[in-house]
Parts: sequence; structure tokens; C-alpha cells
Amino acid sequence: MPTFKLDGRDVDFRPGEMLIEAAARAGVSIPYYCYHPELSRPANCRMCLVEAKGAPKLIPACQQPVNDKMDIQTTSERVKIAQADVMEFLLINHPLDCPICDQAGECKLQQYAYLFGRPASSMEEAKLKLEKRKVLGPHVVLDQERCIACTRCVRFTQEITKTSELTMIARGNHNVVDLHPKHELANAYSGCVVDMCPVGALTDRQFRFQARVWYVQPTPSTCTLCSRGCNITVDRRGERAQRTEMKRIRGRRNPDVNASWICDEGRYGYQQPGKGARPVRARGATAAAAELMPALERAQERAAEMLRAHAGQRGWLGALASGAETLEELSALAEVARAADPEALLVVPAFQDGDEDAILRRLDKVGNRRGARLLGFGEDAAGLAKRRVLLVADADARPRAGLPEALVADLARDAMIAFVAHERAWAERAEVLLPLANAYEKEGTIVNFDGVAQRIRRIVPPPMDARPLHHHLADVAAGAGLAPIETDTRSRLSALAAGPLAPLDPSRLLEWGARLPKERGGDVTYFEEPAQLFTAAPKAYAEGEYQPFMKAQLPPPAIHVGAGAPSRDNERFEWFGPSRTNVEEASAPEKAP
Amino acid sequence: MAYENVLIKGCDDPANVTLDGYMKRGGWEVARKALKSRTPEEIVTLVKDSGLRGRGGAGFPTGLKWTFLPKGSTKPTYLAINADESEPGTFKDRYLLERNPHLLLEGVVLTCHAIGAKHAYIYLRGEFPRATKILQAAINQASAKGFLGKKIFGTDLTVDVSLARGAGAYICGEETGMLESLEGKRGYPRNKPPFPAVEGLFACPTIINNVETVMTVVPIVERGIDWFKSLGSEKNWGPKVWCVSGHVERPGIAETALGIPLDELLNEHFGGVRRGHRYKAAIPGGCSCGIMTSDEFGAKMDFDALRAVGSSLGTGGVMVFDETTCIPEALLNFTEFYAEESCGQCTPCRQGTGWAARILRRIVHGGGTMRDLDEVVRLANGFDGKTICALADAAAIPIRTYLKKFPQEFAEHVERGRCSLDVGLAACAGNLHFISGGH
Repeated sequence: MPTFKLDGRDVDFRPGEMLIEAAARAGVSIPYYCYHPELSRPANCRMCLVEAKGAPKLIPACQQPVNDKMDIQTTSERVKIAQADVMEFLLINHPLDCPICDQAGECKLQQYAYLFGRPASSMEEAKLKLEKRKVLGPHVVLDQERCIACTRCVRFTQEITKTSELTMIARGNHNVVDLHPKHELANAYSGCVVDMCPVGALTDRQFRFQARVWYVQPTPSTCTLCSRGCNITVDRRGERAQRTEMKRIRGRRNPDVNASWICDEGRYGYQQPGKGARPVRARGATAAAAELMPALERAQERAAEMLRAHAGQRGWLGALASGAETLEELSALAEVARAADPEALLVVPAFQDGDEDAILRRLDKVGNRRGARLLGFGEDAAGLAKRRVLLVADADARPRAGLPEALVADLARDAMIAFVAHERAWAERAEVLLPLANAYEKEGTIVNFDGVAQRIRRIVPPPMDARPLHHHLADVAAGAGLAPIETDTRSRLSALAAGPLAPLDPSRLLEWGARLPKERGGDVTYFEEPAQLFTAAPKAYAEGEYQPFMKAQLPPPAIHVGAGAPSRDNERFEWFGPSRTNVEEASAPEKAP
Repeated sequence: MAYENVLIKGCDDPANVTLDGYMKRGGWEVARKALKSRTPEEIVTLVKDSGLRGRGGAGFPTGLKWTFLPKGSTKPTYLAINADESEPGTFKDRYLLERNPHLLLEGVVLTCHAIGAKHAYIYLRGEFPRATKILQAAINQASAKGFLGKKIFGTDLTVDVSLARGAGAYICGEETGMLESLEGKRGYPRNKPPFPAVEGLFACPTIINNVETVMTVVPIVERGIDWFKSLGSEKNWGPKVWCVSGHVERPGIAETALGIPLDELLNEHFGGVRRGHRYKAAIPGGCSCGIMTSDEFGAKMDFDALRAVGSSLGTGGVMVFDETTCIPEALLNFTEFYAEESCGQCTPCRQGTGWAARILRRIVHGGGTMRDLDEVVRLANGFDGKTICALADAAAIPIRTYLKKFPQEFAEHVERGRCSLDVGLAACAGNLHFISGGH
């Protein structure tokens, strides 16, 4: 690999790589505002200026391809003065309203002001007055006074969504972001501009004034609302089980899956009406019995009855899942169904809805699409009508399962036990309804349409008696006299990794996942953490925001019922390990370099 | 030896704007002959060897710029003529465009022949409606006659000329800002490299030349290098059109050889300082040049000699100040101009020019402190050389040189809280609005 001189030492670079990127790989952090790895590079913030030997002027590191003749200084006196000047210029017209600004705590201006700015400014003039709260669209509000004109949001609408709602208007220090006349920022990815805004100019109308960012606990997870499987960071507020609440979802960078973006459906989709409520119902039981134990006992009874009624028969049982369930849950469903009836019909029906585009969104709304296929679930639901008994798992908040109404009416003449995360669709049909944890309430693994296996994480505890599917199934199976099934999520994944997911090493999934081989026997490609461009900052202000998984504090365990050993799901997965250098853990002796 | 005008030749004849009038003076003959008798390489070598330096302000060698075009590119090459003359105090291109449009077109044909361009764009300043009309008429006449378009003079050369008009932004006179504007975008200057010769208009190789530069190509081809080098001094050869405004007896246009001393230029061609007054200072080539005190008027007007007195030739748009001019007021006027015309792209320029203007406003109108004088220079150093284009650098130059050469006036303004000259502020401002061309 060719090398160039960076702060006096020889550093490798890839041909065509920008200086800021090569420096980041070498552990040298260069500050920046306007640079974004997925967008064009206007080099307009001038924060990344560095000194190149022989060049009369300072050069922008974000826009300068590296060559082997370069001799770069990133911390020379000239560079430091330029950085302090840029900070001073950025702040003279900035309102400095950090105490009421949502961005405070994750703001590049704050971060760099501490690191590179001067303690005081000699600005005595009145600051400019601009639009303070301009609603741009359904999700985003703009504060032009806080804007530093980095144009990330403008470039996003021009280059990624290609909708160009935003533009820069006026000149000089009146140059601000604004909407084109008669437009509003209402594209399917509008929330992304909030994620990428380095300051508090663009804020999320839902999250605005809802929580200070230092009080929220960020957890990396994966979106299950379509088959793309975008990487997300979910912020939760509150530690105690009853008070814990999801506050927002942000896109998380994964160049192999979703770049840095997520769609608005994924970002706001968790705010479904009635998201907390879970049905518990056993037909024929008294109203007072609308609790988990009686309902579970009823399910066990019915399962045992059905097993007896169909003893020795085959092809009487159907298992229908939505595909929002994890691999661990679906495999449990397959295991129980096949134990009861070796010819059980397993279906995750096709569910196509909404729009598809070339950016991220997919018509196929089944989050665990490839995973379901790997576990032997078919897509054609028509055969289910012939099955006398049906097990239904629907962890998806969108009521449907993609089934035609006529077919739903025709399903399961003898018995139907449904595990659901919402009240609709199955309430009328199922004999027993049991509450299921949804995609933000459980640990697990999914495989997207493209064969990328990723973790989903438990952000908040499930409400009331809701549990992951394999916990319910273990109890039903035990009550019905079937062979016990594994309830520990981690063990279930280990078993799958040795079977249909082979040769996956679950400990290497981390936050970025892995691409499974196209055909059995191929190799698994493990994704690496995307390069962090700026890491020199104090931890509290650092860009990758969230703490390593091991440090995450979970709410107390949910209630465990029925047979089997208590689940260890509430313990953290040791496999994930500390993924990012952490102040406390860096000193631990076993920490690998 | 009396100087013979070549660029403003015939400009006093109203018929010169028509094809017939121009051809009566032997117009279009140079191109007619050269297209048939000289190869593109010969013309490039000729211009390169002549040492012609660009007349747009930076003084970059024109022939050298032409050789930067990538060899063997499969993309079309474009010629873009920068006629967005918006430097305050400069009006030479407007004069030439309105009175000698065919000389420009002839130069365009020669240049296109030399660099292998089939399409030339002329980016006209939006405030030049008259020049637009005249130039468009000239293009139509030349096209009808077969001097533009396909098979010019029976050769295989094709040159189409398109006129584009700006919308009143100083920054669109910056060459890459102009390219963005030509492409229909907001006039944000581009990062360099890539330079326009490699990746310019529509991402194709593009040569950008000033109006006067392209016009000068015609007499070079006609008269040769020896004639060209008989004018001016070492590395600063050739004819130059001057536009002088401000406190002289006869403001206007004149053409001489490069390197004429400033006092000679003013006294011989523009009638000297206005009657009853005396010189105080001058800006030799638009407001982006350092100011010269009257002691320095003996300096030769060329690209290199003016460096020695802390200034530069710029566009050749001389602004003359007599003793009634308030220097701080002039600096405020120019700095407000830069603050307003900053495109707003780079942080230092966007915030710095506006801040400097606000401090200067206080110095001029009362409320300034002695610390402000240091502060405004510190700001200028803060935004100088740290931006994509040279607008911030240009804004820093007046701030530094005015304060360096006239510190006493600034100090008096701070102490008295108002202008120390007997003329009122309105008088100063009125003069400057006149000479800065309507901004």
C-alpha cells in the first residue's frame, strides 16, 4: 500500500481516498462539519483545514485525495489558529441557546468549541435575527439561527432522495437553508436530515423537547418493518421497568445495508396507536380470567386436546407467522409444530405493502424474510385453509399477516391459538390469544432479503405479560406433553448457527451483522465497524454516541411463568463483547488491543 | 512613438457595432486568413510565446492556460468568456462589448480554433442589457454571414456562440462560480483541483478567458510577437485598456501599452486630478487591489511592478481619490460590498466579511474603539486564504492596506466619532456609489 507523511509518520492510504478518511484509519482525527461519507464534498465549513508542506494555503482534508508526495500537519500552529478562527466565525451569529436546544449534548458545535475554540469571542455586534421555528414538513422543524450552512441536508435531498425540497437562499451571512417555495420536506426519508444535521438547526418534531440526550440510553438494533433490515439506534428514556419509554429511532451507519439512512416509516413506525396494550383472552373463560395464567392454561389444554384428537394423523396442523418474529422464535414455532405433526404446514405469507424505491424501502414488508425461508417457512398461505388447527404468531404491529380476508375467514375450523403483539386481526378468530413481545421488546436475530443476519435488541420491557414466542411455546409444548424446547435465546441461536445458518459464528455478528452465504457451504462475510472519523472527543460528546453493549443497563426482568428454567434473556449477550473502546474497559487486562 | 490603439480602435464610430462597419476597418480578415493558414498548435504557440497575461485580474499567462487542456480527451472542449465584469471600478469590458463586439467574436473564433472548441459561451453580466442587445445582434449578423456556425470561411471549423446573462451576483465573475451559474445552478465557486481546463463546464475541459484577453488574441495573430513585445516591459507585454473613474478631470477609457506609470496615465489620458484638488490615493485595478498613496503614483502599471507597492494590477479599473475622500468610509463601502456579495458557502468568508463590515460601520459612524482597528485586521487575517475562492482574500486586501497606509484617518474617526474631513459623509458615499458601478 502506498504511504504518505502524516504528522511526521508514514501512513498507508488507498488510492483515491480522501485525506480525512486516510487520517481517520491511522487514528488521526480531523474535525469536520460539512463532510458526510455518503454525500458529495463541498468543503465549505473549512473546519478540516490542514497544512500541506509546499502548499501556500491550508487545504481541506475532506476534499483532498491523498497522494504519496504529501507531507501533512494536522496540529500545526497555523492549523490550530485556523480551527479557532472557524469556530469563532461559526459562533458569532449562533444564538448559543444550548440550554433549550435539543441538540445539546450531541452537537458538533459544542464538541468542537470545547476542543478547538477560543474561550471567548470579541464579538460585540448584535447577532443576526433569522427564522427561529420554521416547520419544514410533517417531521422536521428548522431553526435558521442555529444553522451553520454546512448544506448536508440540502445535499441529502438533492443527491440521495433526489427530491430537492431544500436549498440555500440569500447570500453572505444571510445564507440559510430554506424550502423551495410551495414545497415541504415530506419525502419518505425526511427524518434523516435531523440525524445528519451537525447542530440543532433541524430538529425532530416528535422528539423536540421530549428528552435531554444525556438522559436517554441508546441501543443499536435493526428495523423489522420491511425486508431491508436497516441499522438503527433506539433511544430509551428511564431505567425502571414501568417508566421506560422509547424516545426516538435514528439511522445507524452500516455501508453494507443502509448507508446512514432510514425511512420515516422505520423512524416513526413504532409510534403505533395502542402500542403498549396486549390482548390476553381465552374464549369461554370468564372476563376476570383475562390474565396470562388462565389463558396459558387454556392454551395448554386445547393443545393437548388437539394432539389427542389427531393422534397418529398427519397434515392437520398449520403454523402461520408474520415474519416480524426472530429466527429464534420462528425456529421454536417450527420445532413445536413439527413435533406435533411432522407434516405441519409452515407459512410466513407474502406481505407487500406501501412503496418501494431504489434507496432503501422495499415492497416486501417481512423483516425476517430470508430467515423464514431458511427455516422452511413457505410463502403461499392458501394451503392453510385445509388445516384443522392453527398456531398463529404475529409480532408485527401492522394488523394483517398479508392474508386476504376471505382466507382469514376460512382458517382453522377446530382450534386456533394466536400469539399476537396487537389487538386486531386475530381477536375475532382465535380461541386463545396470548401476548407477544414486539420487535423492540426482545432479543434475537433476523435475516433480511439479501441474506444479511443482524441482531435486534430489547429496548424496553414488554408490557404486562407479553413474552417472546419461544417462551410461550415452551409452556404450551410442556403442557401438551410435547418434548421440551430450549427457551434460552442464545442457545437457540447457537443451535441455528450449527444448522440452517451454518457456518455462522454468532459471536461475530456484533452491531453490523454478517452476510450469509448464497448457497450452503459458502463463507460468511462479517461486517466491520464503519470507520469513525472523529474519535478524539471526550466520550460524552463522541459521535458513535451509544455505549458498548456490556455497559447497557436493562430494566428488571419480565415475569416468567410456566415450565422450564427461567430465561437468561435479560442477561447481556457475552458474544457482543465491548465493541468500542471504553474508558473503563480499556484498562481491563483481557481487552484485546 | 505614438501608441496606436488596437482594442478600442473604431470604438468612437457608432457603425463599428455592425458587421459592415467592422469589416470596413479590415475586421474579420485576421480570422479569415489565420483559419486557412495556421494550425491550432501554431496559434497556441504564438500566444504562449507572446507572453500574453490574462486581463481579468489575476494575470495568468493565457497561452499556458490553453496548454492545460487534457490531450486526447473524448469530451468536447468549451470556451467560456467571462464578461461578468462586476469588479467595482471596472467598466472596460462593458465599453468594449458595447462598441467593438465583432472583435470579441473574431477573438472567440481564433481561440476556439486554437483550443479545439466547437462551442463558446459568453457569460454577460446581468446589468449589461445594452451590451447584451448589441452582442446578440453582432452574433446574429456574423452567423448570417457564415463567420460563426458551421464551416467558417470554408474551413471545417465549427463555432457556435451562446450568450448567457447573469443575475447580478459578483461571485459569478469568479470563474468556477460562473461555470455553476452557466450550468443553471447557484453560483457557488468550486473547489480546485480539478481545474476548469480539466473539468469545467458540464464536467468537460473548459478554457475561461476574459473579454479583453480574447480580443487581444486578434492583434497578436495579426501583428505577431515582435509587435506585441515592443509594448510594455519584461513579462508584462502588450496593449491594455484602462478605465479610470473618480476624481479626475475626464473619467473614461483609454488604451496604452502595459507598464505606463500611473501618474503619466492619469495626467496624459484622463486630464489629471480634478481642478482645484490634489491626489490622495488610487486603486489601480478594482477594489480588490491594495490602495496606493499619491507618493506611489510613479509606479509602473503592470502585474509585477505594482506588487512592490503592495498592490496589484487587477482589471485596470483605476479609481482615483482626491483629498476630499474619506478613506474609512471608502473601506466601509467596499467591505459592505464584499459582505453582501459573499456567496455564503465558506464559513470564514460568510461570517467574517459581515462581521468586519459591522465593525467598520461602527468605526465610521461613531462608537468605534482603537481596539476595533486591530480587531478588524485580525478578522481579515482570519478569513484570508482559508476559503474556496478568492473573494475572502480580496476582501482582506483593502482592510489591511487601507489601515496600513492611512492609520491616522481611522484613528481620527475613532477619536472624533465622525469624519475629520470637511466634506460630509453623504458626499463621500455619493462619489463611491458612482464609481463602484451602481452597487
